Amino acid sequence: MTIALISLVALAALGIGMFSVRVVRSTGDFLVAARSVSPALNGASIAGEYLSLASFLGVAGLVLGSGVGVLWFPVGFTAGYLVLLVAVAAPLRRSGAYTVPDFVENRLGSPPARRLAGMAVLLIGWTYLVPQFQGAGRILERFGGVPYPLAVLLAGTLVAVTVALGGMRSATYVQAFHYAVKLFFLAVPALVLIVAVGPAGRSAAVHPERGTRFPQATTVEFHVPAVLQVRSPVTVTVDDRTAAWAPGRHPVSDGTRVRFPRGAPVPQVRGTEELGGPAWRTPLLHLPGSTHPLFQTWSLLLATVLGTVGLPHILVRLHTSSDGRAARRAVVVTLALLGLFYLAPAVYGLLGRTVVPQLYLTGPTDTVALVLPGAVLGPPWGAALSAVVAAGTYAAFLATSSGLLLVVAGGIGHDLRTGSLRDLRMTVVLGAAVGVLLALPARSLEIGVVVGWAFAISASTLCPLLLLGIWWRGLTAAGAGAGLVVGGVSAAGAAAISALGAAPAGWPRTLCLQPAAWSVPLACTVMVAVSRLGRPPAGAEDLMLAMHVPESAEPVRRGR
Amino acid sequence: MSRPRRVAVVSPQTRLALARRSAAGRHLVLPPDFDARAARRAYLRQRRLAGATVLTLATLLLALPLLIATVPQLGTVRLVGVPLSWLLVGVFAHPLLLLAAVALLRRTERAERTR
Repeated sequence: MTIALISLVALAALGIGMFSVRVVRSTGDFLVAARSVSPALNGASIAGEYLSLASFLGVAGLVLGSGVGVLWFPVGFTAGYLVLLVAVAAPLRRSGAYTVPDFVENRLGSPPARRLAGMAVLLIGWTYLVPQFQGAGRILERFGGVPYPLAVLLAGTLVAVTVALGGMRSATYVQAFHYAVKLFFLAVPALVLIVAVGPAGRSAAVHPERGTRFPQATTVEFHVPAVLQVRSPVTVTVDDRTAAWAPGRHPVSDGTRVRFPRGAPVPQVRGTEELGGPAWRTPLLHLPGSTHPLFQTWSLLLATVLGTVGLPHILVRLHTSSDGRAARRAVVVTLALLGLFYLAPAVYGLLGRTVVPQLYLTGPTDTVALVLPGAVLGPPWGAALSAVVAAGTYAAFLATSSGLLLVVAGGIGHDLRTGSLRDLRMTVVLGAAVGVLLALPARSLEIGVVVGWAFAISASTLCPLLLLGIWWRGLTAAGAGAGLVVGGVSAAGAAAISALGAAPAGWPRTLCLQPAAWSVPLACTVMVAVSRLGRPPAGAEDLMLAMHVPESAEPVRRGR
Repeated sequence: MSRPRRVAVVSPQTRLALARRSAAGRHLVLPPDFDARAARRAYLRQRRLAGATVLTLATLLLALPLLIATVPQLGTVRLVGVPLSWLLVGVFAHPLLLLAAVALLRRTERAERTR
């Protein structure tokens, strides 16, 4: 049933894309759609494109796994739109440039700087595609019984086909449809679950200090070796043999099945925070294996707020607005819709701790939103609601991934090599293939953490480039290029080191896990310092000022 | 309701890039009626607003986690059963951001009406 529902949503989206507009197929149509769209519709479509599977599953899973501090993710995701509103939306729309590489060439007149910006787009696009593919793989693995590598490959193929067939034709309608799907398939089930758990369930979810216990006898199958810290004596069944566990450490090997009795406290896994413990319930970011929660929270906020500003697939959508003013209004609509939506992952995470605490023991916790309905309601309604959530998540996957894949394909085609439509189809396949190859070894990484890296890279590359390009006349091509390289290498390098688990514990690991706090200032400093060494291109000031002139049909009222 | 005509839009840069394939970068030409002094005034007004917004946002986003880290009572005081610190981050932040966005939208648009 789940698979059927997923297919239905995917087909509906494809149908809107195929049939609502039949216009000339030029490369321009394919890339940026036609524009006659109201701010409200455009705002909904930006929200539809932005709310991704990865941010939804990732945040819900991380709330369960590492605590309420993860609620800062949605705050940053939303607050970024405030910066977009005041500093980027209108001037970028008025600059007439469609993509950030276009903007760079427009503003700085430098093909090499354009190429570097194009590479930054690819870096961000691929990093953000990884958690989308991971999540899509996990859904098919969980509900379709498809092995993870095959599930990721299927997901990549589906997105590539969707994009190659539809491009951005009527993407605005498709994405606005996707926002509605997400609201009804992901947020409404959250409300149903809040009602269904009853007063006792709701009270338990917001009182972690009462301790976290298994709601019923639970068999936990470990897929990775773990060390469990048991607080009070408990009688468990380890691989069909009864064992009395005294308080203390109990190592469990790979493949072990442990059955905990009903009401037994959930033991702590070494290397993570205690489920519902003091660190878990303080709203500061405590990601596993890292220290200094206050620093992590700040760094995450910097990454998510500024990262939102630099996301290439969102920037492209600003151009669907008819003018700068409409672009700003669309951003406000988006911000409202995001706030409404982001209550949902928190609900799944918080209820997940009391209802399905076993996910914390086995990890990854990303599947909590998919498992929870079944656990709360039981068959048949639980299975039905789980299917609805899975379909909604898959819609979120398609929406964001097709936007991302399109900017990646456009980036390969336009910014690195020039291309015709035919080439663009090839680049779509190439873009999806790289995303799939990166997602295959990333199976054990938490989706939410990878999302954080994509935002950190965006915040360290395209965001400073845009902000300086729009507001500082002194930016030069050399400065922009140097800043892009330094920001991109440091943020992506830190993410790679974290992904490989190569950073020593303590500050180095924390700095690599949340690089934005140092990589963003570093990139900005390099951009400004290198620009100062040279001279901005002739006419740079006028070009910068021209972006801030409102388009207006009425005669200009001159003040003094 | 009359609908605006649908126009397929391509960035001038993209069209240029497609048309010429190779050739040094040529940048956007300024509009013929470009008034540098008016543009400068518009720019300065928006910069003041953007600067103030970004500074305020940064201060709030630095201060709120610090407050939560230093005042543990926020985790024990409850509103409708939910710890206040959770509500601050998970719920209250969003309407606040929306209010700020609406107010800022009005101010940027007002700044554009006067020249």
